[in-house]
Amino acid sequence: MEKKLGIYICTGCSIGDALDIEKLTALAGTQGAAVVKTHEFLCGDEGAKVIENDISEEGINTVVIAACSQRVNFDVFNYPDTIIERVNLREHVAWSHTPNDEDTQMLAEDYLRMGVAKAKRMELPEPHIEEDISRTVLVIGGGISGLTAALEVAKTGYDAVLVEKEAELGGFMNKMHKVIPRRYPFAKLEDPSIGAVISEVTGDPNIKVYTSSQVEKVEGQPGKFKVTIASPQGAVETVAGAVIMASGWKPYDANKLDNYGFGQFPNVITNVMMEEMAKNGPITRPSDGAPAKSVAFIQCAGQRDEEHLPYCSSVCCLGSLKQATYVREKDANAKAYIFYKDMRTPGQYELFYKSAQDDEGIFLTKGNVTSVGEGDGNSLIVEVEDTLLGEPVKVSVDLLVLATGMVPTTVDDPVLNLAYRQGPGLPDLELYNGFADSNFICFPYESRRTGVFPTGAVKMPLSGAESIEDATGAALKAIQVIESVAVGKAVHPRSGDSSYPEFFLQRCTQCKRCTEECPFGTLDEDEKGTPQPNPNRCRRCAICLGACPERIINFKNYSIDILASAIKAIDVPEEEANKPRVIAFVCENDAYPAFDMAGINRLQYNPNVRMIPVRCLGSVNTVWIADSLSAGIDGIMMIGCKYGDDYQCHFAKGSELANYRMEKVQETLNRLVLESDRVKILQLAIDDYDKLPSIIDEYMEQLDGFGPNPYKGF
Amino acid sequence: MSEHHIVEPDLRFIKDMKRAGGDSMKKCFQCATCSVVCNLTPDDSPFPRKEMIWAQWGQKDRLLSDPDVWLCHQCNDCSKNCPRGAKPGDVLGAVRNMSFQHFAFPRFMGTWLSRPAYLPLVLGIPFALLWILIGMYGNWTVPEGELKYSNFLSVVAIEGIYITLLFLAVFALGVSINRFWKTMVHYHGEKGLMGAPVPSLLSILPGILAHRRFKECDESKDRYWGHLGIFYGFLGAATTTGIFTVVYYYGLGIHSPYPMSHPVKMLGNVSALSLLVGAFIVTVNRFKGTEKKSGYYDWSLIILVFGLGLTGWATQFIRLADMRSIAYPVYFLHLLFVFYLFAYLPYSKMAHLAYRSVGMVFARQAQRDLVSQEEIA
Repeated sequence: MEKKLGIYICTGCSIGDALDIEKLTALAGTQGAAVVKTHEFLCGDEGAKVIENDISEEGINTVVIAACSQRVNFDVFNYPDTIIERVNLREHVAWSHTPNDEDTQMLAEDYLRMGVAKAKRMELPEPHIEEDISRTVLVIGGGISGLTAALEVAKTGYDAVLVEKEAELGGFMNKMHKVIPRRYPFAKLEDPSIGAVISEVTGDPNIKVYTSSQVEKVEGQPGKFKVTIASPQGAVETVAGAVIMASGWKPYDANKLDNYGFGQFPNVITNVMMEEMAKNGPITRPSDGAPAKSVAFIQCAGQRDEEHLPYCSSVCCLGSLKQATYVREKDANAKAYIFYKDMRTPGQYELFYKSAQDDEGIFLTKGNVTSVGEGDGNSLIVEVEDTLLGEPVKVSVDLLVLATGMVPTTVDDPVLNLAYRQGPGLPDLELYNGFADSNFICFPYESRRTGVFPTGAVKMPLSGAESIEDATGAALKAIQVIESVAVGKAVHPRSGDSSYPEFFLQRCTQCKRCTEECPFGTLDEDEKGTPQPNPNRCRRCAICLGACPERIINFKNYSIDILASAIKAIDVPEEEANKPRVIAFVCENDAYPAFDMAGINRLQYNPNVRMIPVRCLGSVNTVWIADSLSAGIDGIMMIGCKYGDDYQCHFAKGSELANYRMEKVQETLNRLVLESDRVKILQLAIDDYDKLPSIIDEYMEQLDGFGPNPYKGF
Repeated sequence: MSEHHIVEPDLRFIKDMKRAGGDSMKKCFQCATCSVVCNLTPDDSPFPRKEMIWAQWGQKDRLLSDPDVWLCHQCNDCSKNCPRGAKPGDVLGAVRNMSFQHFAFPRFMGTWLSRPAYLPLVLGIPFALLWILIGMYGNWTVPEGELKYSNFLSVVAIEGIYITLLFLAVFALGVSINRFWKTMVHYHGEKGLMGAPVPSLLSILPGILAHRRFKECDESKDRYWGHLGIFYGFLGAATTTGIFTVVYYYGLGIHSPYPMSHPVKMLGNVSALSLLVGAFIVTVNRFKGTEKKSGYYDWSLIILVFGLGLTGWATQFIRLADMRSIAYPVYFLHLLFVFYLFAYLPYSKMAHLAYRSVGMVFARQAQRDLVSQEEIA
């Protein structure tokens, strides 16, 4: 495409008051643009029309808009089939630096040059669109979450394939006597009524159900997953556009608890056993079948204990309140004791707790159960310390129920059985105690396998009602990914992005860094180790671009060359000018908006820093560092999101990988007798914007101590 | 009690407590706001928090033997501040009501006075007794001449009934209080009691007479005046009756009616006024406060106080106005109220004058009433 460049400078929002616009326009005139225009209100109807007219009448197809942040007015400056580059003169220049100052002017001019350099090398992305996208959703697990997800998918007009391991659908709900109240006033126990849901699913022509079956293999990518199901009739192959993972939970093995007499006394049972007993008849003592007139419940039977389950299982307090309630409903003279560490009944369930508490025969206290022993005539003596009664107590009961916690099925089973280079399951689940969770910023459904959405109790301990709500959302996410890949667009967090990485494989050395480091397992490998792209799995973070030592991975609008040219466009003053130059690679997700916030709040910081927004800090290729230093840049800041166990990186691993790579860069710097601290890597949350001026000032001070880059001017 | 204590909740007691005014008790979640806001509670094992969980767990023995329950003057600072609406003030009130029932001698009387279902019986018995007595020793016809109530029923007959009743009541109350004391000693005496009961009673008496503990309340300050009015109203009425009966009737042989200007007569009238004003304040307070519930025990006593005061006054004014036709029926009503007061003293809320005093004596001896001790020091 023959490029015809237009540069548009907005003078509104105090840009015009802070800068010498004439000088800036003169500079723009030297950049090879066909049109250079200024406007006092570029984002207004009239201003936006100016650009539109130039596109339609002058044939402008590459537009550099020097105005406000790229995070605002993107809907106004939205011209189809046009390359658009935004230069942030407002938040990052006029609002955060001394007006009409020489350094401020230099900053604006550098930004303009950088923007033009990028725009000249950018190309319009063409979406990667696969043929024959499947609009079927594979649902793994036929419990309440899976059934709900399948129904919601079907009701929205898509097809669902439901795979259940057991012979019957319904999961744990099928084993329930009663469920905790699901509606106001949250006081009355409800029937699981799972039968109605099951018949709705089995009667739906858009849902194909496989029971006694398991997913043996999932290959391919969103939109075209090739699924192999091991069914009693043999292997079945089908195609799905997305996967909902609702494989649920299993109870913690009570045999691992050694202090509550489970396995030793027959009258000590688990909450799951209690539920089965209540469903099948009266509540009795297993030892002699006599009616259980008094029942004790021990909460946190393994939960919140580093030796067993380190987490709160969230629903067991409610479960015991429910069971205590039906013990009382079945026998008005029965007594139920609940010994808890903390009574946890989140959200509206507080009302259920209140109603159970009001029952005359339910006795609640905090306490540590210190021993369980046998009493007279088949009874059990439970000793409890640190109680609210102000003293250690003993109770004599017929039945002791251990409220064991939920263990996700993913703790020892990949469930998905993905035929991916990075393995069959979701990665790094040990961060979530084996649950298929993610702290994927702001989007709780996301997993690190695009098009795979965990839901229900496999993701986190949830009640039935919560699972229904969660599964409904998962159905929508599954549909969203199908419709996105159908038009070749990315899903969260770069929703709508139609660029994708292209590999110049002739120069690939099969080092496998890209295939190993992609947080989303996008790339498979052939037997030699050459990456096999799967564009629909890609989240467009460009971490592969940052990883590649051969620099053969590039996007049409984000490449080694585009950013390198922006670096080269910076005007580096002579050493004698005493104007150091620093490049800050800033993550577009948190750091860049934090700088915007700093500008909005008129926080002032050093004008010698040039910001380059990057898709993720993990997308920074070390060659850009080398380019910067050889261009005479004195220091480099890299500002990304928090990484580690409680990461905030929008691409999960990018910030961590960047940090790892920069350690290597710093080693290289030391070899080159350059101070390694010239490259500074930082983590910043979006609400840390107020710390930015001091962070920059401190760095500039440190840099001052090192003196200018000795390679300056070479 | 460091050893494990077998806890066996008493479901029936929980039901009874709920009926006796403690129906909110299960709501408590042991946040301890109540004990923090209470101005009367000691620092060590403060009430009413511990009483709340004992109540929830049906710990009947613990509650009925707990002297702290009687240190509570139901200011309802706790109920006002309770985040859960558990109304600890009402719950402690219910424990006190349960004490009247539990320690009652004979026991069935405690049950009779505990709920309205027995009211026909409770009122029917004195009505029938008085009716029979009047039939035997009195006369419903008002004779010519000055209106004198001794024509209706002779003073001797009245003394005969009421002195007997009083002695019976004192005896019954004595037995009940003895049970109460023994229970407290059984459960809380192992730490040892300081001093003896009588000196302890004497040391707390000024505080009782001055209503010092009522003054510690933040929430319902008016109750101080209400209780003070009723307290001194009763004291005045008792003094009036005592002086007229012992000194004038039997000592000097001077028979009623006594002139209005007589100082003792004036004391009687002031006492009646004090009773009525006190009862009025208490009633207004009960309708005003949202934190406090009023139950059968409370209303029985309030109606009794009004009844005594109003019928007492009415008999006097009817006599002065010579309203012969209604004189005897009104006087009959007055006798009925007095009968109720005497006969049911050990089982109605009136009994709190004994229970509370004894509870406070025990608390003093067990060093639980630190607030008063500080005052003394």
